[in-house]
Amino acid sequence: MINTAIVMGAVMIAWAMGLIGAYQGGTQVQYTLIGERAQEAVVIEHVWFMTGPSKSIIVFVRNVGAREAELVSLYVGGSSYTPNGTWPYTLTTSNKVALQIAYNWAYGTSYLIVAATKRGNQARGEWTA
Amino acid sequence: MTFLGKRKGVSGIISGVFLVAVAVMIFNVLAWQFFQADMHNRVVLEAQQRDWERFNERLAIISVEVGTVYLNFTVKNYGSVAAHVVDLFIRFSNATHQSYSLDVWIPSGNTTRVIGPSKLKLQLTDVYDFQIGTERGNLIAPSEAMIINQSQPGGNQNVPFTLSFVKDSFQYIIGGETWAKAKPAWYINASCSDSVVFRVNITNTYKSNVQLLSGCHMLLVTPDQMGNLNAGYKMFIVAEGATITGGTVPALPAGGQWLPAGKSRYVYYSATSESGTDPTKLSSNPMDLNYLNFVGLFYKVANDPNGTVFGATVAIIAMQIKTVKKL
Repeated sequence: MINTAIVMGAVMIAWAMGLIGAYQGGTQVQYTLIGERAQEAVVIEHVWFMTGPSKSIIVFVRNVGAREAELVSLYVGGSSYTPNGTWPYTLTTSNKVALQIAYNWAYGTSYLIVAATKRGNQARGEWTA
Repeated sequence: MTFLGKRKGVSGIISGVFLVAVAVMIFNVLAWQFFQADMHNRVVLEAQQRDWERFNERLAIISVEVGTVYLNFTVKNYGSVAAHVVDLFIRFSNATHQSYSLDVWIPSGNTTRVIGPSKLKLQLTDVYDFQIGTERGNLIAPSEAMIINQSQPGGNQNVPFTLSFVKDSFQYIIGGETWAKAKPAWYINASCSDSVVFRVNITNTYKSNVQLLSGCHMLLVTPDQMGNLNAGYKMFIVAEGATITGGTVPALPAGGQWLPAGKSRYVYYSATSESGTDPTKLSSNPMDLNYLNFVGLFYKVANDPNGTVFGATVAIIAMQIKTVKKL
C-alpha cells in the first residue's frame, strides 16, 4: 500500500513538473517576444517627394532601438507598397535605410506614412508634399 | 526494505517528502516568474529611457552662414542630453534632394559650428533648405524656409521710440474741440485757417523713464512737382492733453513731459514756437497736399549721470491735408 502511494506520488510529481515545464517554456517565449519588441524602435526620419518623369517618394527609416528591426510593410495613405530593392529589409541598430516607391503624389497634400516591422512595431508620420 | 518494514510513522515521512517536493516546485516557479518579470521590467525601462532621451533631445540651428562654398551652420544643444548628429538632408530650389552622413557630437548646453561634407559644394546662386538628423531619430531644420547662399545686409538697429498704427494712434482736433471729438490725422479735411492740435501715441522702448524737452517738434514737408521738399508746418510740443481755448494752447511745462519706461503716451503738438502758446493754423488758402511728417524728439534719459540730450526722429508718417473755405 505504501509502495503504491510512493509510486503514485512520484508519478504526480513528474506530471506536475512536466506541466510546469510546459508553462515555463510558453511563458519564456512570450517574455522573449515582448522583450524583443520593447527593444526594437524605428522612426521615419525624413521623406522626400521626388519629381521627375515619374513621381516617387523616398522614406528614410532609422533604427533607434537596441535590436535589429526587420521592416516588412510600408504604407502610404493607407495603402501598402513594396519599395525598390531588398524587401523585407533588416535594419541594424543606429542605421537608416532609404525606401523608394513609385507614387503619384500631389503638391500640398499630406500623406500618412507608416513603416511596420515584423515584431509589430510601427514608425509613422504625416508628411506634406 | 527494512525501513519500509517498520511501518510506524512511515506515512508521515512520505507525505512530508512530497510536501517538501511540492513546496520546492512552487518556490521554483515563483522565483522563475520573478526573475522573468524583473528582466522584462529592465528591458521596458531601457526602452522608456531611450524614449525619454529622444524626447529630451533638443537642438536648434541658430545661424546659417551664406556666401560660403561649404554648408556652414551653428547648432545649439539646449536639451538635457548629448546629441549625435548623423544625417544631413538638403533640398535645392530646383527640387534636387541630397543626403549626406555627418558625425558631430554636441554635448548638452553646447554650441557647435558644423561644416558640411566636402562633397557638398555650394554655388553663390544656390537656394536651398536643409535638415539635420540625430542618431535618436530627431530631425532639426533652420528657422528660415529657404536659404539664399549670398551675403545680404541683415543688420538691425534698436530705436528709442516707436509708433503704433491703430485708429487712435495719431489724432487731431481743431480749436474749440475736446479730445473726445478727436479724429484720425492721417487724412485731414478741415477748413482754411483752422487752429489744430495733433497728438501722436509714442512708445518709449528704453528701460528707463524719458523726459521729453521743449525742442520736440513735428515737421510736415510737402514735395512739389519737381520733387523738392517744402516746409508746410512746424509745430512744437505742448502740454499733455492740450486743447485750444481762447486762441491759445497750454505750453509745455518747464519739467517737460515724461514717458515712462516701456509705456506709451500721447505727445501733443501745436505751438508755433518752442514753449509757445500760439497754436498752428492750417493754410488760409484751399489746398490738397500730401505731407511727410517727421516727429522729432529731444529727450533725456532718467538717471543718466551725464544728462545727455539725445535727439531722434520717431518715424515718418504720410499725411494728406485738404483745406476748404469756411462756409
